[in-house]
Amino acid sequence: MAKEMLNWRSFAKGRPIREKWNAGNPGYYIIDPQGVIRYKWMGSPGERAIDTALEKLIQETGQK
Amino acid sequence: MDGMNYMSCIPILVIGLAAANFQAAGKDKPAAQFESLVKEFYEMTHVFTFKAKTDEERNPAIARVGALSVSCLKLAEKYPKDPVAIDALVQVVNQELWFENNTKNLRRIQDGLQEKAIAILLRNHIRSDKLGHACWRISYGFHKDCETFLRTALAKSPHRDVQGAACLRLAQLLITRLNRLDLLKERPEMARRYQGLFGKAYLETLQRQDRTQAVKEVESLFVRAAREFGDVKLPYAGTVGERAKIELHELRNLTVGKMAQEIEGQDQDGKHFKLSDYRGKVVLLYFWSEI
Repeated sequence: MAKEMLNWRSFAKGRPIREKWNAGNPGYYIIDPQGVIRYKWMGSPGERAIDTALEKLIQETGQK
Repeated sequence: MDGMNYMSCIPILVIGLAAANFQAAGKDKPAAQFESLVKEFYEMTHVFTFKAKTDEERNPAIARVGALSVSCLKLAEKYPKDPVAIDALVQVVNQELWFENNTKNLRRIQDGLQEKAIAILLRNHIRSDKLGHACWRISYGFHKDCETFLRTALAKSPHRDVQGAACLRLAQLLITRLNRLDLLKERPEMARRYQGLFGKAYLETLQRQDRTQAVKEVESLFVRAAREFGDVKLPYAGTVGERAKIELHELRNLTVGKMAQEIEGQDQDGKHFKLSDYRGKVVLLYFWSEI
């Protein structure tokens, strides 16, 4: 992770995954603790929308 | 020796003049005029994207693209029977979409060039076998007439290839639009921008539509595209059937409220991991590619 300068875990060779998920570039999914898709955006909705959704869901699930 | 040199120059001079005349005549042909307009469009977008560093430097490129749209429309109106007319009209749509996506200036939309181009396509060219490409470009549009064009091409084109393209692209336009309307609910501050892109009255109509019904229509269009037009080839790669099946898979399995499908693979350090390893946590799944 340090080598790639990424502070999040990433699937290498992600192209088949992207094709299977028909994801845009960029594409975003937010998944809740039960594994359910709660938010989805193809194309960036803006940082604020992503942060708001994450904060709402984290608060809802009591996660820290 | 001098005389010989003089004589040997004559045929070369004659050939040179003939070539120049041929080129001048060729430049007047609608296809050559269109090619020149398209070339300039790509040069201007290159200036806008890569060379210009300030708005002051970008503005002349923006103004020139606006003028090129007018020229394309005039070309199509001047040569309505020439095969290049359809290409020129699609190029108007293409360039106006570039405006919508790359500039904050929505003045172009008010000029109505896109509407005029689509109106001519509907009026004069709806039975053309060249409309597959038009369906593709127009499916990226926002205005009501983009939807009207695709619905009309699906209903009235006598060509199966065009119908197939229209069916797939209409479904894609409708689902992309639904996603945009969802985003607008989350981000009401985008209302002004979307009013400019869709048109205020049309946007209000869309916001009142029954989302469930709209999704059902999208699904039925993708099913129809796969079933009736599955073998129709798409530009660059693949078929209508392949694309429609991928879209259907997403619509049925990868939407809000569905269980996320398992992903398994290696991380950037070569360690095996799964999406389900993170069950119990909120996960942001981010798809991004440099190409």
